[in-house]
Amino acid sequence: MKVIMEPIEMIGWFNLKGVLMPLRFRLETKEHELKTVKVNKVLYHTEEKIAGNPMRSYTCLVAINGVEKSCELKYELNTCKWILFKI
Amino acid sequence: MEHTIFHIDVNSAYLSWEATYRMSTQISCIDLRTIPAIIGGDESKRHGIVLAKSIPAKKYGIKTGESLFSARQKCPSLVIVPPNYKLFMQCSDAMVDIFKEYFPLVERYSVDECFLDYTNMSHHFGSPISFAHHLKDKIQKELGFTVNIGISNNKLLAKMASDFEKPNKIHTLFPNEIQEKMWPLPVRDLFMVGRATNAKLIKLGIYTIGELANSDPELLYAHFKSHGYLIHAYANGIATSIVKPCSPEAKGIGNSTTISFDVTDSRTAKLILLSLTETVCMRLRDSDMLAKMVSVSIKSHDFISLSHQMQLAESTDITNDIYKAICTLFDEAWNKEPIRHLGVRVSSLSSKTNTQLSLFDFDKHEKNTALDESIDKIRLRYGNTAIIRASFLHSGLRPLNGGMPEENYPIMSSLL
Repeated sequence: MKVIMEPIEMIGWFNLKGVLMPLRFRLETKEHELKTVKVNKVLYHTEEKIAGNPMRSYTCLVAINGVEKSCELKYELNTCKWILFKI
Repeated sequence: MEHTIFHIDVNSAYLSWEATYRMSTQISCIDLRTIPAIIGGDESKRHGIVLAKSIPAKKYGIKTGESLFSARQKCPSLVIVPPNYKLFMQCSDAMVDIFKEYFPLVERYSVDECFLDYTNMSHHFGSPISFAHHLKDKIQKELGFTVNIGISNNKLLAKMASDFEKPNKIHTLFPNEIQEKMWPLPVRDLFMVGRATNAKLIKLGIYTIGELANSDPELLYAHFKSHGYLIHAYANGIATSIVKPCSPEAKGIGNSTTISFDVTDSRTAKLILLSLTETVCMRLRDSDMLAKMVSVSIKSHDFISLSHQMQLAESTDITNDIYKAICTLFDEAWNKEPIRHLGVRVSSLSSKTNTQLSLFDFDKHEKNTALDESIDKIRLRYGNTAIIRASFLHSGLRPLNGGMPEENYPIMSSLL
């Protein structure tokens, strides 16, 4: 997977434990188009606290152009922002 | 019983924390720790000094505390980053949280240093050195920055040990290692030996910590009074303080500020003193103490400092009374030179709970106390600038001055 680190817009859902899970996200491509991507499955998620900044990292399966790929999404708990970390 | 004390010190704290934060949130960014870089204050407000430096910056001879101007002269391509106190507090809290996973008592000595008591923990977590390695690696893996750990049987030696070779190292300094590891060091490196003590010791022909340890304590007393006994004991590795989670009771409360322009008229100076007095008195009332000694300090634009103090008729915590005394002191002490830095300090603190009421000015005393209480309540609820002194309106000056940009920021004390 290649590191992208692109901020994205996200629609998510909260599970019974109160953990926010990604559903669909939208990002601006290099051609300045808005592309919506559906998250098919969240494989696992881990917590990190680099520099004391609590982040949750999700490894998911998404479908891009009909091809299923795995990607890594990160959620910054303090700012509530999402980034597409790797795809 | 033999104690085992750890001292943990983050390597180039401010700089490492900023570097780690940038690496985790920005793509393709340079690690500040690998280039000549410093964390520096705001030069436009004349707070421009080096707060932290990277190891490459150290090679250019840049020292912590020197002005940004001279730092730039030593290294023109230096990268200067402003401090982000909220981030530093966050990193410090995260580190203390890791310590709290293992230790019930964590003494937070400053924002980047902690003392831990490892006595009797060996049967839980293994030998001190192996646990120290585990702790250091865990901090690096989970938080992304490196620390030095010093191990000994008291806080002083542990603190001295963590200052040996950096970064990312574990050092021990038990009493049997003092002669080999600590005594060859220059006397300036000993904790509590500062610029003035160092100069005096050099004049006495004492250059290393070993020479200090072996000199006559009575000779040291003759030159330094009780401080001489202290540094003699420290040079021999004798210190008796224990790891405690709360800071010692304050002997005085003060706030000071460097002003971004040279103050030349008395009215402006007194306004700034008022803003400092407001902050100091808020802290005084918050700690439930009364003060009897008041002091003002003035630093002129050519860095000459002077201070003047007086004792009040009664111990008080009323802003107006203390401010009146500060103004008197200022008028007596100021030599009309342009001012760069002002400070207000109260000392001779006593508890508020059992006080002697005065026979004089009883009504005004009650009224002023109630006024201060109301102002404190409003500020606590709605913010510090929700209510301010009218003289600050349209003055361009901050109504409350002094202190750190972040609340509850742990400042290093000189007491171990």
